[in-house]
Amino acid sequence: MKNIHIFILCAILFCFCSCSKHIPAEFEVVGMSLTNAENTGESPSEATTNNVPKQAYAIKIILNEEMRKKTEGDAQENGFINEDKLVGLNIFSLYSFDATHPAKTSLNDYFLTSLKSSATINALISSGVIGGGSLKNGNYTDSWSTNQYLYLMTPPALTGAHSFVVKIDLSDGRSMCDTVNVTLY
Amino acid sequence: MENKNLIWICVIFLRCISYAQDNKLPTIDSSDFAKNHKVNFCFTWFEAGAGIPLKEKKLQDLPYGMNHYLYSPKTNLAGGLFGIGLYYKNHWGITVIYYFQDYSVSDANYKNYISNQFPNYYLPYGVQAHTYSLNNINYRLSYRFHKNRFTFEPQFQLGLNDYNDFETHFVLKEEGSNNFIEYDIKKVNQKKNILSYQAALITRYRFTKPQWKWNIEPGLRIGFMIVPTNYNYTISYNSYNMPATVNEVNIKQLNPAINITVVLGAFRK
Repeated sequence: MKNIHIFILCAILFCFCSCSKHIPAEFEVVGMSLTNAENTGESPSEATTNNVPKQAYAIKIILNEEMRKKTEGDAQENGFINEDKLVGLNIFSLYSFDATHPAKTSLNDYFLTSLKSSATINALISSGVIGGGSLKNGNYTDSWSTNQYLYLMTPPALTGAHSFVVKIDLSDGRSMCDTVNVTLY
Repeated sequence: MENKNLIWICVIFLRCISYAQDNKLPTIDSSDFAKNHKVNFCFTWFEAGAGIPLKEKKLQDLPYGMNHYLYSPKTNLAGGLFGIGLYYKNHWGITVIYYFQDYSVSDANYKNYISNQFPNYYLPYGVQAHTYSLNNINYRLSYRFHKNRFTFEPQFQLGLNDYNDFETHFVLKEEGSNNFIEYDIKKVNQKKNILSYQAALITRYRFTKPQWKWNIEPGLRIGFMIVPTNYNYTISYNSYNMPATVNEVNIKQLNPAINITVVLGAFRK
């Protein structure tokens, strides 16, 4: 009888002790630049020229990030969170894109942040998440960069040159903006 | 409600054990089975081994690729943990045990089906056939008898299971463009509970010494299990910004399987 009580006690203690809380490390997005990407293969890659098939065009956003608050414990399990939330993202062309989208009107509805229908620009803004953490040999690093692709899902009817502008707004009041030139064919 | 029942069963078990201990006769020094209790206690530390599913031929004829999705399950893990049993006069026993079993269908045929259906699309990593697991407290009724140092125990097992699986969702990317197809298989359970039924035989070898209060009993358990299920499956796929193609099919399965596990437990003399 005594053994059973000890066993039950051990089982209860095990349940209470087996989990510990992980606090994510915080990073900050400090810079942004754009390049052209093409997505004709299985996954997107940086375009080698400024001529990209319009059916497979993507804007590659390179986000420069820096570590702000490291947390104790296993870095991999702790995870990461961006210190400043994404509160706005706007894509527009400096030229007329199509009949309903003259120059400098938002093209957010024409782009997805990944290849699934729920991955809209609005969904990304709602999540507030931008960028991502990075580890080297399981340890935190001080600075790094991550890529975010924006896939053009409704290509223009005509081929031609475009200048896409991407502007992001962060919760601490900062804004970042860059332009990329491409000829879509 | 289920947890409440479990707590009550545990309380009743512990009371019975306590009763048996309090009322035991003077200890008989014996290497054989103690016959001094009306009720004996048995603890199963673990059971672990293989669940070998038997193919259900009727699944071969399912439409919309569900034949590839469901047919041809492969051998997976099956087992139990922390079984607590009470045996009346060393023969009739009731046991509660946490039981679990994984099931998965071989992916190869289903991947081929999807590749053939969408030839100009890249097959993503997430394409896999049906995978699920059963687990929960199971209840056993058994009869135990002995021959020399061997114990044989035919038993019937009933399980009221949690049925956990992954809903199938994957995205196929078109070659040469950003276009993609989202493919989903969703299902709705038509039964109130997922019950499992198992007929099994445990053969144990008994290690014992006169001064031991417990016999150590490793053994082998062989069981035949069925888990009747009834699901309405909805298979849908659509290109970006295009209307979805939706198909529905109702599938009843028995999920028969042979389970072979090694067992380690202790039996109170």
